[in-house]
Amino acid sequence: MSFFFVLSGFILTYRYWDIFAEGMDRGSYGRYLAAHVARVYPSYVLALVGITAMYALLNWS
Amino acid sequence: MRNVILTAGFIAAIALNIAPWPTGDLAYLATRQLRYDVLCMIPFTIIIAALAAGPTLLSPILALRPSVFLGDISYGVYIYHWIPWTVVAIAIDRRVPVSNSQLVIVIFATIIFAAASYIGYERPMRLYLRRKLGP
Repeated sequence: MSFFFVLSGFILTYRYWDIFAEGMDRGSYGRYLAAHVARVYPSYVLALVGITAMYALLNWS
Repeated sequence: MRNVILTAGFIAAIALNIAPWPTGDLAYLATRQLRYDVLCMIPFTIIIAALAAGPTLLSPILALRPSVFLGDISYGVYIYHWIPWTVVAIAIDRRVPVSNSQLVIVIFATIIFAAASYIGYERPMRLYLRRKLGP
């Protein structure tokens, strides 16, 4: 967990420093958001559904 | 120099695990939290900085196709691991966390699931969503 926090902070800075250094506008921030949602949300939603279903089936919390 | 810093980072990370643990439930929990949630940030930062700064002894290994693929699926491994972890723990002895031998099953199942998800679901979805959402 902690490793991912450090890694994602590093990667986001590494990837977007140059782009956002020129100023954040609708275009650059929009492209960042679109890429972020496209990469993060599919597995996030699947994990959310899967974990909810798992606990419902196991009847255990 | 990068190799020295990288080695120092790994030694610090291992030290956090093998340094003596205090006895007593509260002292153990507090120390565990301090080491794994706070202090571990230091070796992790050192390791990532050393690896990102340029070629190191680990670069040839990290550049292998299986390593790169493991990197591609790493977000899936991270977000899905709780499912096999809990299923194995509950199925075998209704206990969390799992033992070391059960951990092998959990890691194996997680990697298989994350790889399948990456190829069959995450990558197609990413390409689709980028096209759909992108300007």
